[in-house]
Amino acid sequence: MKNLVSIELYKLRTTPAAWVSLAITLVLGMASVASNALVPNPGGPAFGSIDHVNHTLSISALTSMVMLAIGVLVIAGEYRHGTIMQTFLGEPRRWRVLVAKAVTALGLGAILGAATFGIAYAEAAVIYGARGVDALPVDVTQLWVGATVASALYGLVGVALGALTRNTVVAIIGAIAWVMVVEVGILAGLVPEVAHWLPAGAAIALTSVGTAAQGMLSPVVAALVLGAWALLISGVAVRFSLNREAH
Amino acid sequence: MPTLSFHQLSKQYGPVTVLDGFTATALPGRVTAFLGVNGAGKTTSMRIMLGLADPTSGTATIDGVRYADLPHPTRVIGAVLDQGFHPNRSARNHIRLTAMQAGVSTGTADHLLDRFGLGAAAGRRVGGFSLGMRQRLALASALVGDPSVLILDEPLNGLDPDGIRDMRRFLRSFADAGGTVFLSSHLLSEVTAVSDDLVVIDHGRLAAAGPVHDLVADGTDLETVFHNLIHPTDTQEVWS
Repeated sequence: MKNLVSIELYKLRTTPAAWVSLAITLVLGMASVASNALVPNPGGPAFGSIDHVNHTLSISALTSMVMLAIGVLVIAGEYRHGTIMQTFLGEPRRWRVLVAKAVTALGLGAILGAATFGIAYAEAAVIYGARGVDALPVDVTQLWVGATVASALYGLVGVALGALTRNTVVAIIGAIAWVMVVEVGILAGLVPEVAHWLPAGAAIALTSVGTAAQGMLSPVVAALVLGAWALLISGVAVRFSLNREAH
Repeated sequence: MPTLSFHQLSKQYGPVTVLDGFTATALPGRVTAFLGVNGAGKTTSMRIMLGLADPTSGTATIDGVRYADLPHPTRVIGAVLDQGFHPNRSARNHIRLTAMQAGVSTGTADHLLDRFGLGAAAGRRVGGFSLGMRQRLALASALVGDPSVLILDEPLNGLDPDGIRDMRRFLRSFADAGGTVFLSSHLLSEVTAVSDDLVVIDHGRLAAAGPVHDLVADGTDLETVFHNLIHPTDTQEVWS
């Protein structure tokens, strides 16, 4: 299994897609932190308040969606380019390939989530410190762990969606549409008590503090709910993708 | 050295029967050409042998063992099907990846690029390769695990005359060293030049099998023999 995970990592680092995704995450993440912290927001929370800092550090959504896309690419990209046949020739026990891809996405997601939040926090600490706010009024550990867990689990969801659809565009656009339009755009407004238990609702609860977290699931419950969704979608992917023929 | 065996192999896709009790063998030390018109079941048979598709019934084995049950399959069988390449991955990285999958050193992979005339192009993206270069890279990749069996689906496609000659020589030497070669091709004259045995499949069933010199006897060319096997009642020239 260790060799299979090494192979998956080698695949990612020998093509540009993952590097470009990481670069975009870093650039947009740092720009987002600077913009949220420095651009005045009339009527918004006071500078340095818990809600202001929470807004500044809210890059987990970006990291999670990038990780979801990388998770999709890890498997649907192989179907797109026809390299999945070589993969299954090397390891004909397909469940081992799927597990290796899932482990890779989980690990990479955790590292990306932790690293981007760490960079964002450092940047935010410098910006707020320069304006007289020396200690950020948030539970940094909770946000850091939340960002790490959310990014890792979204990577796993990406692999599952990629295995189910075998199509990078359908999987990525479908997932973004589900999160942004169905969950955040519609259900969160109409039936918030239901939306809290869905994947995006759980991720928001996991990565937010202050007013944004009020009425949401507790971080621990949110992590369990998001994990359950990731496992459920992965189970469906295993059920319907393992025995389909590879072309 | 391993023998490939297809035994009563059947494959249904919904109402369509692709293979219907197909039985054949490919022996070590010999080049076996696998012939049939498009849709006859050649690629499906090969895919089943390589564990990429499941048979509806019957078996496809290497010395009695299914591909999926081999501990290190790519060290036993090297395959060239229509497996793709990531267009943005370099040839060197592609073949090193194949070496990792086979569990062999990446140094072997680099050596194979040189052997197949791709050393100078090793750092280039495969997306910029010609069809012939891709065929050579696919064959080099198939050999990474130093297999004793080669399964090749249309390996001569896209090769120039020099490439075809080199491929012919390579296959001959591989079989002469005791290896098992099982290749499909539509280039009948080339097949005659390189093969020891023929397996002809038609509508998913074995139409003929045996040594080339037995099937192509009395000065009849392989094209005529093949046509008569597949279309025994056809007497018309289609493209006259």
